[in-house]
Formats: sequence, C-alpha cells, structure tokens
Amino acid sequence: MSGAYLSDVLFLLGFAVAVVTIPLVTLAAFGWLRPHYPEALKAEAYESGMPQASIPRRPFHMAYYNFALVFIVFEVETLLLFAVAPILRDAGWLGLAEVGAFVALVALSLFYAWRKGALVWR
Amino acid sequence: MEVSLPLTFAAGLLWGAVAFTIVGALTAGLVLAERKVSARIQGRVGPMHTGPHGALQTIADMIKLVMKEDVRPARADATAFRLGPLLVAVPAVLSLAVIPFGAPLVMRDLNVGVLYFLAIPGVTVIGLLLAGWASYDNYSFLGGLRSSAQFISYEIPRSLTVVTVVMLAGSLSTVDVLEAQRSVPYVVLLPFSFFLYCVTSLAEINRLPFDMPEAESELVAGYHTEYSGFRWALFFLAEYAGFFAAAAFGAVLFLGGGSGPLLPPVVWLAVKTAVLLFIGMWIRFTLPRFRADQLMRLAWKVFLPASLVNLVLAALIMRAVGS
Repeated sequence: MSGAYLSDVLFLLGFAVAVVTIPLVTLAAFGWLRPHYPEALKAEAYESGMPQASIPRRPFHMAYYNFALVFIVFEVETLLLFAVAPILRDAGWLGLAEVGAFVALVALSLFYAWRKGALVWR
Repeated sequence: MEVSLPLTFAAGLLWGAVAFTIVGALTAGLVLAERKVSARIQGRVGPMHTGPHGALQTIADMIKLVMKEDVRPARADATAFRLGPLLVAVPAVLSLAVIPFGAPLVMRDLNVGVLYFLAIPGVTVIGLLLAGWASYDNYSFLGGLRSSAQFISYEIPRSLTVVTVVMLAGSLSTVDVLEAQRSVPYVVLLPFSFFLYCVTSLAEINRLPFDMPEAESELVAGYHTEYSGFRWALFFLAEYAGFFAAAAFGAVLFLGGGSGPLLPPVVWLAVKTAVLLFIGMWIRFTLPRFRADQLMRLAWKVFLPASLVNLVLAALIMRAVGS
C-alpha cells in the first residue's frame, strides 16, 4: 500500500518537474532570439495612453473577504464528503442517513450565511 | 507490476513531456477550431491566408509569440510576475495525468484520481492572484481578484457535483469510474449532475458567459493585461488545457469515456470530448457575459443549493439502481 503510494508520488513529482522545466527551457532558449529594446515608456503600466491614474496597491472590496471565508468552510465540508462517497454505495440506509444528516448540516450553514447577508455582493 | 522507484520517476518525466506536447498541439488545434467556429457563427470566414483555409494560422501565431519581446512593467514585482503564468499553466497540464484516454491508456491510475483532478487546478488561484498583483496595474489587479473569487466560488458546486459520480461508481479512481459505466453511462442516471458539471466547468475555466475576469470592455484583459510574448502564451495555453481537460473529464465521468462500438476507445473519447468542446465554443459566441455580482449570486444562491439537492437526489438514485 505505502509502496504504491510512494511510486504514485514519485511519478507525479517527475511529471511536475517535466511540466515546469519545458516552459522555462523554452523561455530561456528563445531569449537570445527575441528582440530586447528596453524603453521607459514601454515599461509603463497600461492605462489607455495616459500616465497611471491611481496606485494599484490599495484597499479592495470587502466582499472578497466574506466569500473567501465562506469558501474555506464549504470547501472543507466538500472534502469530507469525498472521504465517505466511495463507500456510500454499500453503507446501507443507516450510513446514508448519517451522511444525509451531514449534508443537512451543510445546507443549514449555507442558509445561515445567506440569512446573515454573507452572500450579498455589496 | 512492482517497478523500481527511479524508473517510476523517469516515467513521470516522460509522461510530463508528452502531456506538455499534447497540450501545445491541442492549443494550436483548438484556437484554430475556435476561430473557425466563431467565424461561422458570426457569418465571417475566419483566418484564410496562412496555409489552406488558414490551417497554419495558429502555428504562425505560436512562432510569433515565442519571438516577441518579453516586456515587464518597471514597477512590477519581478519574481511574482515571472511566477504567475507558471502557476497558472502548470496545474492545467498536470491535471491531464489522470484522464483515461482509452480503456487501459491512462498516464497514472491514481486511487484518488478524481480528487486529484479537482484539487490540482486549485493552485491556479494563487497564480491568478500573483499575476494580477505583481503587474502593478489597476486592471490586472481587479482582474486577478475577480478571477480568483469566481474560481473558488464555482469550485464548491463543481466538486459537490462530482461527488455524485464518485458515490455511484464507489471509487475515486478515474479508471474505476469508467469501468462502472460499462452498462449505462452516468449521463443517463445523473442528467442533472451532467448539466451542473458543464455549467460550473465553464465558470471554472473562465469562459463565456463567465469570462468576466477578462471582460475587455471593463478590464482590458484582466490579470494578463501586462503580459506579452511567451509569458502571455502560457496563460493562453492554460486556458485551452483547462478547457480540454474539463471536456475530456466530463466525457469520462458522464459519457462513458472511450466506450463505444467499432472504433477504438481513443477515437470515441476524442469524439465525445470534441462534442463537449464544440458546445463550449457555441455557448461562448452565443451568450452575453454576466455581471460580477450576478456571477457570485449565481454560484452561491443557485448552484450551491442546487448541487446539495442534487446530492440527495443522486443518493436516492444510487439506492434505486445499486440493488
């Protein structure tokens, strides 16, 4: 079991190394073929022709924070479902009821977040 | 079956190189297909001049892209600016590792393959945020924020929908899911899951009607506004790799993958994937774009409750079929 696990991880490691290396090598290889004419104006941020109107390092919309929080809660709950999903077929009505109770709890938390206004973009 | 570990690592390297090559070729093909399909829908002819009927247009485009100057804004964060496109493109290619291209032909049959396919592209969010933030550009910044918010919002209903397939198949391995559909493909048993999967996948890969992060009329080009040449091409590659992976995965989860009469499995999978890809392109050039707040409302107030209801529905179907 652990041997198979180790070989899976090693395979994916090799896979990832190849997928990361190829674009880096391509980028480097064409480095001495592509033109390079640095210019002050070219290095300016895009702003339809005028100097940059405002600094991008600034506070942004609060709503992102709300959604990020709710996301973490639901993502963890979804992951837990993946753990039980494969054995659910043979778990009988009792097992199904237990997972059903969990899903009801998830639905309840969604309802709570909804009522508290966490899902409104404002 | 037991092979030495260095050999496994080497096999990984080899398949990684193959996967990247496949993605490169696919991107060229899909871009051309998309331009021709869009031209047809809009009553144009599309690219015609490079090669017969413009067949070599994307090859020419690719050569152009690698030869273009690599421009970086002066105030951009250099490290994050370089890292962004990699973190977007690499996960998209990595997700191909678990897709069974034929009945036995899969790069790696992980025992958690389905979860892997959903989890690996999660890294993309970091890449989108990094690229948007590092560019030191207002459009990029807003685009990066919007994309990542959209990505994480649709990830939950999408994952919950895939859970229904795992429930019926009784396994997290993509090969087992395929095996379980020998008699009946899951689109018959779980039509609603299939619908939810397709719609949330479109949102997940930032395509119309959910391509709001790149809404050119308000955000220029979103998070990749400041990118050019090969680094920009990586974003493009990621988009089409994601598009293809989502379609192929949908074909495996719901349409029985490579199963079909007469023709070899790889051909059947290609046909089913192509149909899903075509529908994706068709939608792109037919529907208008959602607004930022509508998009989030749709994810949390329509798709999330719908996927929860769908979960219960699938459990009942599983009981009815399973015995």
